[in-house]
Amino acid sequence: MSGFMSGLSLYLRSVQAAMRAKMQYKGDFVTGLLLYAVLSATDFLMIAAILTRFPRLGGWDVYEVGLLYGMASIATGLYRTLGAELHAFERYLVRGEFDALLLRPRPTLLTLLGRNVEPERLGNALQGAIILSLCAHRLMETGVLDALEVAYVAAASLFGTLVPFSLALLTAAVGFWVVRVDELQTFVMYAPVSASHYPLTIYPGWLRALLTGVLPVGFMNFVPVQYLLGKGGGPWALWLTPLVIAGFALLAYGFWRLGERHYQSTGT
Amino acid sequence: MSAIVEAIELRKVFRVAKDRPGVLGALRGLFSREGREIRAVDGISFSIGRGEFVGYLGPNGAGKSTTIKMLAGILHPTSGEVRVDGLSPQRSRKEVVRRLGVVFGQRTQAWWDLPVRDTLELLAAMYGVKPAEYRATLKRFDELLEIGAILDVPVRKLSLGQRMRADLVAAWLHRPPVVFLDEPTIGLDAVAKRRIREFLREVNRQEGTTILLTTHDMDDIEELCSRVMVINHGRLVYDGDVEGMRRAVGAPSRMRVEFAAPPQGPLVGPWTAAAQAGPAVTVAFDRSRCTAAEVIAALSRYGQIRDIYMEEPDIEQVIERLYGQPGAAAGPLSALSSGGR
Amino acid sequence: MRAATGSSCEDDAAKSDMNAYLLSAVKAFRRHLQYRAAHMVNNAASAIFGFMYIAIWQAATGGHPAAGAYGGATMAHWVAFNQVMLWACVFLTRGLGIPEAVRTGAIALELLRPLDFHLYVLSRELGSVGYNLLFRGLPLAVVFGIVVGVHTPSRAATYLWLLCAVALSIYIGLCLQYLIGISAVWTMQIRAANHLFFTLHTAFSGFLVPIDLLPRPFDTVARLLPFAALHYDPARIYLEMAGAEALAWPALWAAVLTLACRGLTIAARRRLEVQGG
Repeated sequence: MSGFMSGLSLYLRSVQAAMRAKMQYKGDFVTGLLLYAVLSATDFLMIAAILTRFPRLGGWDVYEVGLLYGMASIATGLYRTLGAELHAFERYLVRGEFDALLLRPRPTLLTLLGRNVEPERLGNALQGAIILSLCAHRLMETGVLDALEVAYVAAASLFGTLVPFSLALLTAAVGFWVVRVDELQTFVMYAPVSASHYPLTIYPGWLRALLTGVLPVGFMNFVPVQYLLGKGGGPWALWLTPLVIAGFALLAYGFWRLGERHYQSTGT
Repeated sequence: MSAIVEAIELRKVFRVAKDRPGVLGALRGLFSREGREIRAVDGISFSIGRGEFVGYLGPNGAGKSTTIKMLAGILHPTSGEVRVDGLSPQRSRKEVVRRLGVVFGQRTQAWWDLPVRDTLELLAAMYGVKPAEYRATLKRFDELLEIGAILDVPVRKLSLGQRMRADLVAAWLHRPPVVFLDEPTIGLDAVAKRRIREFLREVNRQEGTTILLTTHDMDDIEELCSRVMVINHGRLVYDGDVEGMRRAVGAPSRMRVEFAAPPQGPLVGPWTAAAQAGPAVTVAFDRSRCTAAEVIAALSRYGQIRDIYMEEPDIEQVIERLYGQPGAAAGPLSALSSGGR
Repeated sequence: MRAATGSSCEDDAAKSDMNAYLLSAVKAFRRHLQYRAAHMVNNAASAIFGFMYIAIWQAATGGHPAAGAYGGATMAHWVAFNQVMLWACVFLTRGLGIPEAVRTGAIALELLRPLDFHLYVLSRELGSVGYNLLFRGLPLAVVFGIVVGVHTPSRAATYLWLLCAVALSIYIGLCLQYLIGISAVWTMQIRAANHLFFTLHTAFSGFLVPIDLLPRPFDTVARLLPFAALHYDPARIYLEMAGAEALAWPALWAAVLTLACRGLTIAARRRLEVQGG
């Protein structure tokens, strides 16, 4: 436990240092933050555009879809902020920089994550939080959600960041075998995360199965929200969600460790 | 002298698959056993005692960096054992790297955008260096490397030499008993090189740090190392002192002499070859058979000597001879003798 | 006599120029060829994106009268067509490789070559576009064709207009990327420019939402911007919702962008001459 705490405090120190490095260019940070916020909101504008023309999407109105969108944006925004180095992991394998991580007396993943953060990506999460609040507020007014349920949604948005994290970890770990993984990222990360902006029930069965069973972005937002909005599922969705996410994260980390061992025995 | 780094029958075999780029290609590669084996390190054993300063030499691709990576726990050997301070880096990576400092010549470990101090503080935290120790170490290194002046400069603004100094401090911060250095003087000017060598000599002598140094710079080896190990084609071909290596090879030293007037007649003496171009004569001789003084004496019979230049065999030449690569070793000599006729 | 020799020399020069442009395209094509296995994984992702968009439109329009001309089946073809088009006019080398050349300093040399820089960069990228169409667009078209069927225009003239529309789309896509790329001579914020491009593309190209379905002021804005020429106009022609008249505005934009590209190239050359690279 003390090992974990010292690991965590060290990680926080690295993040602080990385932040300081970023803040050398403060103007860039503020512009970047706003830019990411405004630009990523376009995705929601498109959803809204469709939903002004057609009032419902598979039985969901714009506020309900906005809930899904907001949660996914917060989760991925946090991931892109804190997981910047994981997202750019291909570079470590192509240039052999992973070796340097193995020379530190800490788990490689922590050393890796501590090396860089991209605070301007918080703009993405910020934009998601704004849309989420607006939609949640409206749904509370119309009596669809109560305060406790909104609190659950907020907590799940933060906890849900483990989903893109784990997807990235899996992708990066595949790199220990194949080195080039940037193209794979589109399949494992971008496509599923975009799909999670909409209610999964509109997709064909195989796609829904892929998005809940294999690349479980459905648990980032859809599964609990569907139940909270009374559109299906059961109370089990609320406790199953964190369990599935935590289990998936552990699985991803196990795969990462396996890849690391493979790397050490073959020297990619 | 107790051993601190040991390698026992160390072997590393890489399997190089046929070139199949991309994800699908690599997937296919997982299932097929095609490809050839490369024995990067092929049964190496050595033992380095506490406080030794060892040079590790070999041409590119000979297995140098593979060996270092196995010693540091980055790579696991195909077979054989590594012991660092009695521990196996394969089984206890974190324990071993706590006892290691590593500097990769051209690649800095420091935070590019932050002052050196931030990197050092972070490393101190990472290795659990107590604040008092940290301050003491910084003070000590300020004396040796004048690190104080660059502590608050962002790494991206440092010169190559300054960056190397920062990297050296970073490697020594947790007072590791063993340090691996990979080309620490590469690309530096003469002044910076001298300063780094002085530092390395000091810490080796005073702190008793065991140092394993890979380099292409013969001066590094001659000025610093009490022992050299030479690797080629994955095998250790020499392990001993620098003089012994030269003797064992019998590499010719060369001397260029300028006479006041062009010497006449065939040049006969203790040398193995001679070449003449006007008043300048170049001779090659074997130091194990005769001394430089004897060569000068023999040459002075052919006229008044104006100037003498000595050319010791450089490490590349010595190594080339050590491996008996045809052509490479014969090159300079055959050129000499044919020019003499 | 003299004039004749001169012109034949020019002919030769023009011919070798042509070869240089062609060669750079072939080389780009070959470079991509090495990674075609990895690109297949990306194709799978691209197909999933397509199925996702199709499902969204099916769910939205499902028998809704507001759909008008854009029914579920039409939108399936719309999405399929545009997923393929993405690889021709949008998913290009970032800044057409110019920012990389600026970073390494190679830009000074490239501008000095006795070739038209704008044309040279464009033809190099055309090699990538050819590759993309063959190894990304075609497999995608096959997959979508199997799942949602292939829409074949009924009028013969449509094929001609479609060819023109696609050519204009590719050319405009290349010019927009060129503008992003050449701006690297003045600013290192290429990531932001690129991000902005993709955002405007998402909103105003009509690749996901046909721009006449956009809410009020946005549809007008989208109609005026060049992004509609990338997806909206070609798709309308392909689905025979529009005829040759839909080529006018893209053609005008192509002319304007050509002038902009050439103007910026001259300015970039001047700036590099002042700085000495």
